[in-house]
Amino acid sequence: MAAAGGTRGSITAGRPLPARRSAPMEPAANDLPLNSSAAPVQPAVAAVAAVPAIEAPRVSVAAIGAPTRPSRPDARPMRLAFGAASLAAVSVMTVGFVRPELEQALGGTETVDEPQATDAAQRTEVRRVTRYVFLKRGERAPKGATVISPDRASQPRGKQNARNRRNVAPVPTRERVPQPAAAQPEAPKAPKPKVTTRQSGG
Amino acid sequence: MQAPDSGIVSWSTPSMGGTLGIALVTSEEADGERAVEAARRTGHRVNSWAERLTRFTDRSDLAALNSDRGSEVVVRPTLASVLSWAEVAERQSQGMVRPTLLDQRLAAEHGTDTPRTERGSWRITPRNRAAAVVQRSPGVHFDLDGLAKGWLADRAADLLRGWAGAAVDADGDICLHVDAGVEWLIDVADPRSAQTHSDTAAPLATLRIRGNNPWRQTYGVATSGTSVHRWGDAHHLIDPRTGKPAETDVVQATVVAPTAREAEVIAKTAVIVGSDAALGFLDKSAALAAMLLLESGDVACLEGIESWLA
Repeated sequence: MAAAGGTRGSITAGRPLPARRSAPMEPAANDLPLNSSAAPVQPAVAAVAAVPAIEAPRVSVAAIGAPTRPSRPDARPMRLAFGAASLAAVSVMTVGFVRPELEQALGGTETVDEPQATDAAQRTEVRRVTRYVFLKRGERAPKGATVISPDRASQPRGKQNARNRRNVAPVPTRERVPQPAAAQPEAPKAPKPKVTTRQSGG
Repeated sequence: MQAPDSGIVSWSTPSMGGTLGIALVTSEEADGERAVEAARRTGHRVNSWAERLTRFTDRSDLAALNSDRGSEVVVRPTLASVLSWAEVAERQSQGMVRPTLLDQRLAAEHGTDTPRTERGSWRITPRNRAAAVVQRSPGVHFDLDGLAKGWLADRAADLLRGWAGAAVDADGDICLHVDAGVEWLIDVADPRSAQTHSDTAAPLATLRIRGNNPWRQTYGVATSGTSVHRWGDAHHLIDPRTGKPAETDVVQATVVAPTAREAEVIAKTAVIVGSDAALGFLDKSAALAAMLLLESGDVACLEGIESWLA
């Protein structure tokens, strides 16, 4: 019967489509029984209804032995990688272009503390950036700013916490020397002892 | 010794044929007594070292070395350390400052014939932690003098590092330790003044050493010249090229350097070589600042002296 031929499998991209639900077939016009003259003509619907529903066979490429194309690798991880790399490159360029101007605008130098050496088990790195703005004579510090003398500004600052203090080798702190001329003048509080250098026996 | 009410404790004692002075800056009133004790203890150590390094007593290590006729002599650590520095100083001064000019100096002092000037070779080799061996050619005698004073000033200042400010004046060669916020004023004595050794004499200049450099907290200041130790026309600074007192137009040189011993060697070299060669030498040396008083009365300074003047 043409019913089997009527449920054709469709092949799409090597994957079988989900099977269609089998539905009662409506008879075509020329699909009448041959002995239609002997038998009273029945409504086609009734005849068809007697036909048991046939499950459409699932057809797959493998099943029919059709030539196969190798499956392509998933492009999504690579796209993600390219995206991240592009983002990083743009970030680096942005910093390169913008930062020097920012420093010039502030007229100060930057003090970068080196990352602390840590225990092998502790991978935490501490990085703090302190920006000094040198005030010229007569200038006032911005509201809320902590004003320190240039001498104190150049002192290394401790930044280890109690947890990573063990077995940590001291790391030299790289700091730029503040320009004394531009720093706020501050009279030393300590007395000024005086000694004399003179010719000796040497 | 001064009362510690001003934040500065000063202590001095006769030493090295002159005076050893120690001054400490105290941050609290209660530190006064502690500072006096630290200065006294340091002074005694300096004196005990100086007693091993002087040529004016027969009991010193230096006298023992000079009286030994052997070509190899074992010396104790203090003398070994100063002789090691003397080796370095000879190189740094391009041969102008040598510890082996004792005989020439004595000849100048006594007005006798100058001994031959050919260079006696010597070297010092560490033997173990406690001693070293001096190897020398025959006839080599040592005179440490200013080399020892600079070394003593530096060693003493090392012992006083815990203080906010410390000054060790080893009879003119000064080592300073300066913390942030501390300033030292150094009067440069004017040799033309009859009252050079008086505090009331007008100084040639006053240098200011400020503790605002995080990389450097120790400075040396030393002065050398031809006007103090004189015997007629002769003076005590021997030119090793001639074996005689240096003929120079530099009356006095004052140098600021990273250490007192370097300052002393540089200042002495500047006097010996004369002003023409001195300025070139100073430029290449470790001098941070330098001031030369010339026979003409002019004062020649290394560039940048303004920042050191009070």
